[in-house]
Amino acid sequence: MNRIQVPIWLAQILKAQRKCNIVPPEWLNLKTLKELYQHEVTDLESFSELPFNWLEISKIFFENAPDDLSDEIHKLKSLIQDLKEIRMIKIKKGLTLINESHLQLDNLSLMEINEIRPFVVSVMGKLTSMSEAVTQDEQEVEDEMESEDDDASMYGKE
Amino acid sequence: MDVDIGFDDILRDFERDSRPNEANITKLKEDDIQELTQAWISERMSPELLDYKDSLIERLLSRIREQVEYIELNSIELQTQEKDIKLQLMIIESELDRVNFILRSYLRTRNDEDIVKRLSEHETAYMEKHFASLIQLYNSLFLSQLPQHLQALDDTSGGQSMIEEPNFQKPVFLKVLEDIPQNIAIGDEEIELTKGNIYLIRYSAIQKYVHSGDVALI
Repeated sequence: MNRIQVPIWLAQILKAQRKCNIVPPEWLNLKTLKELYQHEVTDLESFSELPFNWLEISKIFFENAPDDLSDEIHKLKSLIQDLKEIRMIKIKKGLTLINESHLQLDNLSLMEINEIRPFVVSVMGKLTSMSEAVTQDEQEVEDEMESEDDDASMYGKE
Repeated sequence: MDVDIGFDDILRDFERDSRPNEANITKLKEDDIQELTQAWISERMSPELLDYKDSLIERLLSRIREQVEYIELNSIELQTQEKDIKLQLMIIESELDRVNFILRSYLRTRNDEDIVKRLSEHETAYMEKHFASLIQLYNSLFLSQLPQHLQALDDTSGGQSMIEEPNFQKPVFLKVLEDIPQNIAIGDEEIELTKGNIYLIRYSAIQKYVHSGDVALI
């Protein structure tokens, strides 16, 4: 048996033709997933380092190559589900920090970003335009005050 | 056993492809696909039109033509051929489908946005034709019935502009690809962009880094 690195779509084709086994990534086993879950629960400030596409990759394995996984598949599935849920809870808590300028979301995966994208983008867009309106108003008030000062000094001269 | 032989042949093909002298070429081809994918995602996520990837698209189109020719050549003799050519053709076809999908979506996404100077020649021609037919359609349908001063399609008076402009304040998700030495300032806040981190920031603040490729929209 040879080991070779190919894109995952190619591995899927070969697997469907029974021409290969797919080597699972080092995080897709009970032991590591449990550790990751533990990290999510204990460290509420950050997210554990999972690949950008971890949800997609695990789904591909569950559906196309369950026999290549070393642990029982229903246990793996439920752990992935747990991880997904705890991370979503943390994400939603983190969203209370949203402001008009920026939000930092390290180690979030693409799926997780897409899940919050519509909501977060529209909220931040509104906050941005509101804060702009406020600074514009302030600017106008300042300008008015300045021009009043100018007026006053003109009167002073007279 | 048949199956095993076929599989070994495929592996050998791969190894041949990845031999040192050809490794660079393979790598370059992979990078092109990667670049296309990123260009497509960035284009979809950015509120403005980005630069057209002229040479990249040229390279990909010529490679697509090569692969299509290869499939056509080999599928004629399919009946007499061994089983593994079938699989090889299937793999090539799958990849073609994948690349074509992204390419089409990339081009179509670009045509939904409009800033003329970044369009390619073909895109400009397409847009002008599209716009001309659209005006003709509107005219024959209802515009000619309206009073003359209401017929314009690019009216900006009356507090509301008919010309859509990109909203540069729109927040975008981005991943930092290269460390950015200078902090960016938004209002009174300073934000440090560190490699590998993910942020949600208004587009105007990071626009130049999207153009330079130091950050990728996601």
